[in-house]
Amino acid sequence: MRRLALVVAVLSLGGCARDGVFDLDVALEPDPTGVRPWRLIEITDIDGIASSWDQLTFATASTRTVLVDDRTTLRFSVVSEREATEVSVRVRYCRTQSCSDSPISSEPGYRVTFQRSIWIGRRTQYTLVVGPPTEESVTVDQVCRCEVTGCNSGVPATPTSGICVGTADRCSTTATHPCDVH
Amino acid sequence: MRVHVVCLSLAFLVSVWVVPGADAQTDRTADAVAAFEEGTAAAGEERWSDAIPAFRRAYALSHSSLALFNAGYALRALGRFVDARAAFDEVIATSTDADLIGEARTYRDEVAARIAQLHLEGLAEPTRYDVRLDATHVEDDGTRPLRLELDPGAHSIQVHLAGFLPFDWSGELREGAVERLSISLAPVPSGSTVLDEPWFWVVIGVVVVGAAIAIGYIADDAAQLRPAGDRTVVRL
Repeated sequence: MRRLALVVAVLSLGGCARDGVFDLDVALEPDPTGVRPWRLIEITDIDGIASSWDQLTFATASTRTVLVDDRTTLRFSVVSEREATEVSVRVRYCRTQSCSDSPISSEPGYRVTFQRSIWIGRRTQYTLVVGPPTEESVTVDQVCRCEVTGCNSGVPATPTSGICVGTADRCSTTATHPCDVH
Repeated sequence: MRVHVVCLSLAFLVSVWVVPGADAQTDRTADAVAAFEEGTAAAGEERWSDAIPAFRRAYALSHSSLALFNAGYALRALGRFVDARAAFDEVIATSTDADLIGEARTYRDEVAARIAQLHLEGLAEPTRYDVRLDATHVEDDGTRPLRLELDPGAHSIQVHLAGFLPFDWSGELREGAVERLSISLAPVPSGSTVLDEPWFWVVIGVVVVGAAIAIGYIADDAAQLRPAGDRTVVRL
């Protein structure tokens, strides 16, 4: 019976999984001034170019949390069946829970685009550290595909280290990510 | 703009033809007038890419502020606000025509407000980096954050430093946008690594095979990835 289960499991791993899971931990630093204690985290897979961040639709997810004194880590599992698209995360620093006190364009924020984080049938991991708001500025960042670690086959487990080979460029699409090896 | 260019072209003709001189000077003036007329015709048809070199040539030959003003106007029409501002600045600095200076100031302020800025943060202060904007080298003068002025549109930034992996960014900037880009360079792995050792890959292979078998035994329903229970699931 156990052998049968093994065969079924292996066949399933190879042919049936249609989602990729990206375990994203967002570590949030509080605002030392206390002016903007609320964080709104928004995630999308619409290509995030700097010019259109304000127009992006982040209808897929939003999580609000308030920070007081200590660093708070929010844990997400981003699930997608489209592995080629970028995943973009916008963190808004808000004065109120509703985040409606000021327009997005004029509030400080943190925006990051993951060059590649979703592999179908695979599970990847990344910890994003988001610092406190700095003045009224927006920080734009990018995480290269080779900085996303882990490549498990379907069952939540301890992530393995991501090791890219083939090039020293962490953003290079020719580098072989563990998830590229099937 | 068409009327404006024509008016200026008449003024240009008057201003350069009244200058007396030797034969060489006359030829030079004739060439300048021809270039200005070429630029005016192109501008009248909104062929700005053709108008710019014609007006620049007219300016080089005549040093007429009118030609430079029109070059700035054509650059503005193409969205090349950085170059347009430089042209208007030069008109303001060199022209003696008060009306033209006033008009140049208006356009200068307008295009300056439409120039996008990209602030490169995280660069070490005493270090000089090899910064490339759209594959063109940009001098790192040590200012921190390093401020780049760009025309709106798609751009790419590469930052190189010996001993570090290059930083790459590409994106699109809107008119007047001020974006901050956090630069972090990772050091190049030094020398031979464990990845070069055959035994490492043998061990990895054994571990991978063992892990695959273990996963198969433990998770007979592993056909679908399942988010961990303590996480907020975001389905895109």
